[in-house]
Amino acid sequence: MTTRDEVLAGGSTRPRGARRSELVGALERYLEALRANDPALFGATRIRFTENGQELAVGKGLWGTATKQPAPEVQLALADERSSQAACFALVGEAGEPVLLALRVRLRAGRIAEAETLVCRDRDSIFSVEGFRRPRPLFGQLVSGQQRADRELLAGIPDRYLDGILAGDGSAIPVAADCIRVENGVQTVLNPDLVGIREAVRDRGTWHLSVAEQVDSGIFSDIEAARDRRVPLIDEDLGVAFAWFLFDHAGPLTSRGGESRFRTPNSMMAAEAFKVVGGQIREIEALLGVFPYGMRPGWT
Amino acid sequence: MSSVDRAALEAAADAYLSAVLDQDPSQLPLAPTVRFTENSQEIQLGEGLWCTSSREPAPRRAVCVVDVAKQQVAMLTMLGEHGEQSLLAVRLAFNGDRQISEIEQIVARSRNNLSSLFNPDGVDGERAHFREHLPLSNRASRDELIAAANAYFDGIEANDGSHVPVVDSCLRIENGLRTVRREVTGEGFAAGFGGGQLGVADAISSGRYDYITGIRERRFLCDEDRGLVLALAFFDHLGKLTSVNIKGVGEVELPPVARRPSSTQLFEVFKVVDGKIVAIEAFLDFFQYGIKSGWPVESGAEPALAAG
Repeated sequence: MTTRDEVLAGGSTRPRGARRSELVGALERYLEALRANDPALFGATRIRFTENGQELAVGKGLWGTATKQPAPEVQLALADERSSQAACFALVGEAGEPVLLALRVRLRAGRIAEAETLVCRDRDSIFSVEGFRRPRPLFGQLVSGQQRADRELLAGIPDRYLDGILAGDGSAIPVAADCIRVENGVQTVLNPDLVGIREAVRDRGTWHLSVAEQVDSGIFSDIEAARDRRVPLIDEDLGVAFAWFLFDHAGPLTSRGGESRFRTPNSMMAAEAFKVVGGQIREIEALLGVFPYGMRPGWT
Repeated sequence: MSSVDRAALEAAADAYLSAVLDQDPSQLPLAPTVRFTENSQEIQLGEGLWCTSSREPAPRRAVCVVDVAKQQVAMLTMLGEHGEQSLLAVRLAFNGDRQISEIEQIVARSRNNLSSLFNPDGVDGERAHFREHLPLSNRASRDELIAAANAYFDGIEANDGSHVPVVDSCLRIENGLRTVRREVTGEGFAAGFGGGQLGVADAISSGRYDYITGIRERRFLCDEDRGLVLALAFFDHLGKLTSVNIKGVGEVELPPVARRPSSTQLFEVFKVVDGKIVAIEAFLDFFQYGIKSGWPVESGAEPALAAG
């Protein structure tokens, strides 16, 4: 488990943790083991594992249902040598169908000691395999020189984004006007042609806006809290802050009295990566899942 | 210390519903330490359904289970939520000061019912046979009531209905949908999601419940006078199977909802007469695999003193 202070201090593992190649390799081993339904493949003996906020024995959840096809595809792999953690967004097969996975692992003495996952299976909601597969070249580029953000700045980015959302104030968020945000494979900003937006929500009228404009529009006033925020992993080389948090949606009315996007109470778990270049958020990639109102993340 | 009698417990269930519809928990005699869960999440009273309930459509109560010995009452009812029909199952526990100390509820909503096992129109009023008091000679003890419910769950886990004490004519209604002894429409698994034309015991033995991998966190309320036992439990579905082999039908492909990990939380009421289950009414909803109730299984432990 990681607090923000712990991340800033470089994690609890001393000396310096696992190397980038080892961390990314752990993600690949995890996905291969998952594909084979065989946790023994990555040699986990004592591992704390959660799926969608529930602590499970390794072997249950997606471990029992993952299939060889479609083969795993990693969309974005992140590594944090100082905290010995790695994370990725990936497409994996379940009962022969693609589902979307957010995965965070922590290594201790070369072994995976923690695995936190969010599995998005709800094809009736915001969900696009095609959109998820679309290359995101900027995310994978090294950030150097003046454009590079330090660890502390990166660690503060998710809070600034979420506080801006709660305040309905886009100007409070250090975000570029052309920042793309992709959620469950669907581009949910700067998308005037409504690519991947399902029929039922097309008339919302905010899909063409930028991140800041959308926040200003008031559409997020149905979010009453963004809680249990963690930034477990910071990839300084790629300039990415990786956050995990929950949005609470109380019900049909927003704090401004308007219509909510949700008719019944729910909590939405989010695993979200922010690409920061020159101090500004340039891209956002997120997986989201809707769960019972008040759900806890399973990690502190 | 004083106890709450049967009539007062039943009235408390109605008062609870009324407070929910008024979105006003302050109407309730709450213990300072009251705990509240909705769909297994511990949240504040005033949140969840308390924000979304509506007087339209008007509520229709299906079943009430009064456990005087345990000082608890439970109710299954349809109620309005933002003008739409939801299904509420709630359990209330009272402390020695006649205050509500535990509130546990599930709210089943069509949106979550990936299985289409949701028919609130079928919750069309009080089930008369669940209200009738039994003559002394037909009653079962608490242990016998709980044994009957456990035998039902054990039978499902084993795909063997032969040891379940249930009469052939027993009807089972889940989320307002009759899931045994009914006309079968549609094709494949949907044609008999529950038992199709079969009765309860035959449906359990048919193999169609093979995708249910375990029934855990079983807790019980008993109403001996009426011959009722309420079971609170979770059905786990590991999701490993893609089909089940149903006797006399052959291999049948499972619907997508059964091919992914999930857990079903349920309130299931059994009417037991002469030791046999004669009717079953359940409210349930599907959640992510492994979800826990948030209540200790001990809170379902049997009271030291049974009611007189």
